[in-house]
Amino acid sequence: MGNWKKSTLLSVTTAVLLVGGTACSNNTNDAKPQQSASSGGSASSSSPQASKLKLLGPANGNKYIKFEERDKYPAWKEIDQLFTGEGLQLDYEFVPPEQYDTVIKTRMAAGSSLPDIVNISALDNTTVLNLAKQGVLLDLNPLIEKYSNGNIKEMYGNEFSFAKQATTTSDGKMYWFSNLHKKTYQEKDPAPVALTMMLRKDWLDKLSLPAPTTAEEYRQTLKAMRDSDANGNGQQDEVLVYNPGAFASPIAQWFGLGTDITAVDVETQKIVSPWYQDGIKDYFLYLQQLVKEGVLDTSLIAAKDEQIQQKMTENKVASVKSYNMEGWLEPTIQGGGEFQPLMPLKAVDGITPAAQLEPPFLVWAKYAITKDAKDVEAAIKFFDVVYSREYADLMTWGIEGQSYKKEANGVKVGINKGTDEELAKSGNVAAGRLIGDTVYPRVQFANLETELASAPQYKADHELNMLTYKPYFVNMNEIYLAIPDEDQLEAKTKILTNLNTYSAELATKLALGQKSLDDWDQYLEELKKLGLDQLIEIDQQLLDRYNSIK
Amino acid sequence: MLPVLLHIFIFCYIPLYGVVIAFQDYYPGKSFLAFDGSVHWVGFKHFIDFFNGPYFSRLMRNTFMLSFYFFAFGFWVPILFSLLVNELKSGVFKKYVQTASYLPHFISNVVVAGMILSFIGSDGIVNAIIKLFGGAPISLTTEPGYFPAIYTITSIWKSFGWSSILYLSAMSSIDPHLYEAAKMDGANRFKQMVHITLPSIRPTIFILLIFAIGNLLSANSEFILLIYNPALYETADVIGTYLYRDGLLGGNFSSGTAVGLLISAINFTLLYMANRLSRKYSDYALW
Amino acid sequence: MSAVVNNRIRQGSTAVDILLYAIALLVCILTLYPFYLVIIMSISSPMEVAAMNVFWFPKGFFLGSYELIVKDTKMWWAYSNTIIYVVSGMLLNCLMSILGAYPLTARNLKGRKWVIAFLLIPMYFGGGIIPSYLLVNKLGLYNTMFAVIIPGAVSIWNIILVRTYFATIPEAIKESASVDGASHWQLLFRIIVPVSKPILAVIAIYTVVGIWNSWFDALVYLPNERLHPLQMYLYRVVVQQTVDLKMLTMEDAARASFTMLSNIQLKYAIIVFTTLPVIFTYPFFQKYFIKGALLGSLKE
Repeated sequence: MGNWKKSTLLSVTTAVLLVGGTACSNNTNDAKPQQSASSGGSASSSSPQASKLKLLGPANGNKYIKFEERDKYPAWKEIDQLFTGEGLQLDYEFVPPEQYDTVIKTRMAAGSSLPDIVNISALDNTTVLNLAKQGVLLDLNPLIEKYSNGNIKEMYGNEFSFAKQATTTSDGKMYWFSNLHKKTYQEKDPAPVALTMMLRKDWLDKLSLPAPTTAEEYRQTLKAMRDSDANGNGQQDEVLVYNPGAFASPIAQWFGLGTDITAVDVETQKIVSPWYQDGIKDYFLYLQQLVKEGVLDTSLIAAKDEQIQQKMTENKVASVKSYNMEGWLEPTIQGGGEFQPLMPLKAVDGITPAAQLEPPFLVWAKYAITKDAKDVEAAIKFFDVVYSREYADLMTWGIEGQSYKKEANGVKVGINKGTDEELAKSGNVAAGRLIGDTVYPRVQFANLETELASAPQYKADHELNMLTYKPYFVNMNEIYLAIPDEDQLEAKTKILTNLNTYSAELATKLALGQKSLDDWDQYLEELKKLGLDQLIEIDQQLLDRYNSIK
Repeated sequence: MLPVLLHIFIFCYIPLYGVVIAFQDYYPGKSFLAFDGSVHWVGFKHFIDFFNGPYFSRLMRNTFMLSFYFFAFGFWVPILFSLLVNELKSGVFKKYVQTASYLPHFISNVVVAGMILSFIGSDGIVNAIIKLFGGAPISLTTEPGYFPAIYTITSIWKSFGWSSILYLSAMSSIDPHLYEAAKMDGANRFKQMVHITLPSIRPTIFILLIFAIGNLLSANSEFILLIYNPALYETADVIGTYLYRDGLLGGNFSSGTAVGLLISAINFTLLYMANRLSRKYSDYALW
Repeated sequence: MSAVVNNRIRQGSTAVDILLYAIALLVCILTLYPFYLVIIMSISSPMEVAAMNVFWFPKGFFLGSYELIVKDTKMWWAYSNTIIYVVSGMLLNCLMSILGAYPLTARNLKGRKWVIAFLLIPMYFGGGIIPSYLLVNKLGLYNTMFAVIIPGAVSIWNIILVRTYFATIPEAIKESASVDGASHWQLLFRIIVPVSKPILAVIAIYTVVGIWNSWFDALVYLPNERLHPLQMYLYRVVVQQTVDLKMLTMEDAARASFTMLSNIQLKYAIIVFTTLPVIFTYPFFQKYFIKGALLGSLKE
């Protein structure tokens, strides 16, 4: 008898929970319409003919600066008005960013009830091109011709002319809009930012050592720091943090090597591969030396950020790769410290050391209009607002007096650089921090002066020296390549996994001394077999096409 | 019976048609089974590509070896441990030991990976102990030879406590009278264990053994991803990690599914063989 | 006579006792210490944690992470969601496992082989994320709690475990019941289930912990944050650390760096917060591991 009672109790409990579960999900369903109602509420003052747009994108993942609290940010209010002023009523679906990858893939796979405008940055080129071919994503150029008020053309055509080159497919069409970024110095000169090896300035001073001017001196300096126990803890544990498996590390550029297995030499407009370049063997010999002397910490060669952070906080890092004007490494060192950026150091006679630069012109992310968009004109209007100077300024800079100020020469400089928590409280942020990379593209007219203003003199000087430094390689090679067509894409993806595996493994093992340079010919043969030459050829085709688009 | 079967049918079998993408060139947005030419059938291309890949044998070998080490060394640990716990007099200590043993199960892979990396680092505990005994520090993070050991030890540590729960529950249902009877016959503790406890958990052991064999080609790639680096590819790169890097390039749904299908098929075959052997030589089998 | 025998046995086993206890203690330390480490790191200052300076005692007492967690309403939603998922999932799973296992123990079940094959195949072969997603979508379950509860209600592994256990129940019990004229249902729920408490306890534990720790289903089917379980919440914090630094500008790198440092320590606090409750499930269910569950059910 008791057992029956138990099982009925069981089923009743389950039923109750299920009903409760339904109720809960109903509640959340109720919550959502409220959200869009409030976003639509601001449209009341604008034209009666409000056009609705459904947008899907990843949420802003910041813990403090939250989209739900957007009404307390003046910059947001201004931006909102830009859109409602055009009669646009926006209905958002924001998904937690860490989940967005999966969600966007499954949504596009379902292919039904798609939003009007969607952030598809998480999808790879192959998928996107296929979706375009199927018609799921709309071809934008004819739409721009028909509906745009000229803003988009202005931005894509004049201000950010490189944007078209990077986003036009092989059949001459454009299927997505992007984030656009331009960094200038004194309002006119392009301002690349350098990535270099940073060296502990305070340790140099402590040991009365001069800054190294050649690679050899660099090695000796690191050794000296280690031998003399620069951090004063009684152990010789001062190290260089460096990943030999990737060529995107500045020491490779000292030997004139490109930044990736295929890299763009922007000045000569040629694709090069470090494996074929002159300085490659000397590079590995050098690394082998560093490893033998214990200067290069082998347990950190492919470390995740957390491990590197640990070494940094423990005050054991003598040198590491970073942006030259960084200011975020020093505060994490226990006991404090100072990093100084190094110029590219001469390593081999006859090879001019190259710099690693971040291009001043950047294009990234993808925002598309889907086939389910009922009001395409409204969608284009959305992007017209986005690609306008007002929007750009509000996104990048915010409101004058609150998040930026104007210098005497009219240049904008950011202010209010507190922690996220403080900024959230004051509300003085540029709109980009609140909504950038969600469904709102980032359009950035950045300048160098802001960074120069907050960096110590020796870092600022370094940057000014690097503005016109040649030769150089860039840290984002894909920016200079056109979008591949289907065959090229297929060939590339087929080659790349195995080639990257081999290259990373070989480079690491050579640096560690586990493989010998004597077998060099064997390695080259293997690289060729895996398709290195083919890859170079394809990338060269892409580079040429990029240059041919106007 | 029916609701269960229905449920399984709906949620497991219906989506099963997805495996067809292993035989296609698939991208999200394409339909799976259409006859209008929008589906791009490529037959066994992906499987062949995988076989012919330069790393095929290494990936298979690593995946198999790592799983095998874990199986060979790790299968017995939960059993021994549960026997040990069973011998303890019940009380607070016994409870503590049991609870402590399965705590590692709850520490997520990310944290475990972080701890392991700092233990085996150049300044880590392991090297400190080695130095204490006068040895030269070993670079555990770059010598491929050590990786299997690191992986196996960590995996065993993480899972033995949790697995032992099953054995302990089986042991708890043994009739205490059997023990008393054995004691009166003069059996000491060890004999009791061998003749009463062990045989009672034989069904459980066999079932788990069969399943373990059926899992021989699945290594814990999530964990490996967190602690490996290119220098260790020789012993650490398994099918799962390779596919992960492949997937980063994007657009490789089909090849990933194909490889997954292949592994599942192999595992299932192993399972089937293990089951037949078990049925032949003992009473216990899955079917 | 028996007293002498008893004494001899007792003497012999003391040394063994000590050895056993020593081993048990060692195991305890090996498994307890890392968890202890997680706890003390969750209350130490981020800088100390980043430097991994914490070994025995917390350094730089810091409750900021816990503060952040407790103040975050999303976390409390996640907690209540998880409890709902866990309790409903556990009950459903136990029920389904019993229902599924019982018929398998009947010796004369027709097509037994096929049923078992039917059960085993999905354990190894799956269609992948996208077909499952399409199915869930078509059933209207997407973005509701049921998307997580219903597909998870049946676990084939559990069914097999229960069946194995059922098979060890002496036939005599079943026969005596049917002699008394009991139907299948009565046999199942009045006799077999009470006797199966140990295995049901195990399944309950496995299910509770499994659902508590799961985030993958939520990742795929629940874009609505309000429905996320706890582990999804943790996953998001942890994943936030692993930012792809390739496409970051200098400004982004700066910000990523700041978040990372605090996330390192926050992670530990969240782990403690989300794990502590479920660790206690085992002791809770342990009392069902009563010795001699079969005792007295057989009237010789």
